[in-house]
Amino acid sequence: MTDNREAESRRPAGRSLNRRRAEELLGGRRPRPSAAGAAESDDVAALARLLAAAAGPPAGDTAGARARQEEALAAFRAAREAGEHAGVARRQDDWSRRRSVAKAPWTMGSFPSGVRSARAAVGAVVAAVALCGVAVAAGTGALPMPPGPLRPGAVEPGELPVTPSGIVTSVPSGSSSHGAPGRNAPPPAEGDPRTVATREIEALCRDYEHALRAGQVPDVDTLVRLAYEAGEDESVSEYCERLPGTGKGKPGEGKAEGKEPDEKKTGGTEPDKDGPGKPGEDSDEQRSGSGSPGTPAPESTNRGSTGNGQDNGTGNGRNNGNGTGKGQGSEDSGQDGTGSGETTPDESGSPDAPGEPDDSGTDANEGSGSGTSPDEPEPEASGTPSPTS
Amino acid sequence: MQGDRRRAPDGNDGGIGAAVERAQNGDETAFAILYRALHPRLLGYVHGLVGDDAEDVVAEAWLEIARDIGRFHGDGKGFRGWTATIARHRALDHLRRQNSRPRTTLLEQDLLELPSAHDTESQALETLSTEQALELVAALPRDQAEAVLLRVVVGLDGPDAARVLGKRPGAVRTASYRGLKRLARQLRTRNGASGTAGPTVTSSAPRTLEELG
Repeated sequence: MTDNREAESRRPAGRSLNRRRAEELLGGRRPRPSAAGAAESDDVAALARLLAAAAGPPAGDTAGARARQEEALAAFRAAREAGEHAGVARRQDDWSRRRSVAKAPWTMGSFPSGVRSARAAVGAVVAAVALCGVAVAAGTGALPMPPGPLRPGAVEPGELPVTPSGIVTSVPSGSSSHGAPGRNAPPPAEGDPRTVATREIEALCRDYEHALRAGQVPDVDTLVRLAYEAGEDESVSEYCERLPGTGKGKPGEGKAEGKEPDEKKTGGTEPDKDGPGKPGEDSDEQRSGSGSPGTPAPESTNRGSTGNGQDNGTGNGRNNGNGTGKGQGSEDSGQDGTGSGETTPDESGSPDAPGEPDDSGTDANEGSGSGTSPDEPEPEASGTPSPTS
Repeated sequence: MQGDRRRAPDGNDGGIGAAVERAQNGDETAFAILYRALHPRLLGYVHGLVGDDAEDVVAEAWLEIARDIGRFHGDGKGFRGWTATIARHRALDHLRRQNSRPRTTLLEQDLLELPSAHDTESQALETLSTEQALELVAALPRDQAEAVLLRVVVGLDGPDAARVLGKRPGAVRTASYRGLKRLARQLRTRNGASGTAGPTVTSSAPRTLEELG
């Protein structure tokens, strides 16, 4: 819907608004004023201010906002307890992708150094995150312990240490089940499956420190994550300093490290590594396996079935954890489980496949050729689905 | 400076991604973090679609997000897109229920009445509130407004914004570019109407846009 007025009143929108600058503006970067002088970039500068204002925090009635947040949290709890979180992804739920760029924080263009007081901004965000924790705790009484999704071997609900303010010092299921070191916990040693997440955190720390050194505001999501990891007793800076892999990072080193998790994920090292660990990455795993009609090497096929195995494992684990009474849930994953567990050889034609082919899925898979090499069902695929039964 | 709330489109989303993972495992704190991080963005976007009912619509969207988060597959970046899609559907439902048209009706006269129009341009914009800025963006033709809001407010990159809108990336890129040009023109008009620096700005830079754009 190109407006006619646009064509007709095509007064130049200032010298400096071109597609490149528009893209910069849309991407959240403030283009540098042109060398020729500020007057030329009036439009861009005005737009930058406008867009920054638009992206700013909206004023709102805090009481209403809090009530709404509580509603959302209550819905989250209800869904968790009803086992709905074990739901199967529909096509519209698959946003996984193969863009390693997205995983490398330091490749992003941060805000230029014109930003005043990066540290003040950091403090504000960290404080906000801390407040968030308190607010949650306050709103819900104690911090909720997921009754269901705990995996075998995970911390029992009663054992979770809770600080006076009600903030859980170790994340209920997250820390034990997928790798990220628990809050405040120093990262585990090399060779541990958790190192992937640890490296990720180290990389975030480097990103954070690099931004500070450069006088930039670190990415807000980095801050949220690091503040979460650091917990409330420690500042993000202190936490990062404590990490072995940070502080001394050379520039550029981060990039290599940050990508590593990805390579492991796709290339697949030991199945065990991802196996027990990262349900969140199942999507990726699963896609690289079952999404592609056969991957070249037998090993890759294994990888695929491993992915399925994990997925089912997680699903079942959740359901069992939720209580055996949930017929609905276990039906779901039971189906799923048998589907992929027994039919690995024809996985390419499995019911999973139609759901999988999507733009992001093909990215990775196209490259890997399509020699169908049905391998035996990975023991793990059938083994994991019912770890808790 | 509010700009730091936004992230570069292809930037790191490690924090969100990790929180998503944990929330999918039942971690309510992680879900609260997600809520805090994304709610303002979704609100800004939905406000551009449904106006003052945005709070209610986004609350509805969050109920759905809370229920379906286990289904989501992807990283933190994808999660933004996923939530934006849900919010958009709820907003469109809302509009359908209302049988009303999306708000693209703000007239340029209204823009002129925004506060501080008599100031110099920079002062006027410096004081532009988030709400006023969102009004300006929301007043664009709908496709342009949505494209700009998804990019700038929700923080999506071009391809993700396109997926949310169900369009081709090129179309969305063009829409957002047109939106920005139109905004720039409106800002100048505003400024020109105030009788200060407008004329010089608008007349001093002939032709270059066509060449560059």
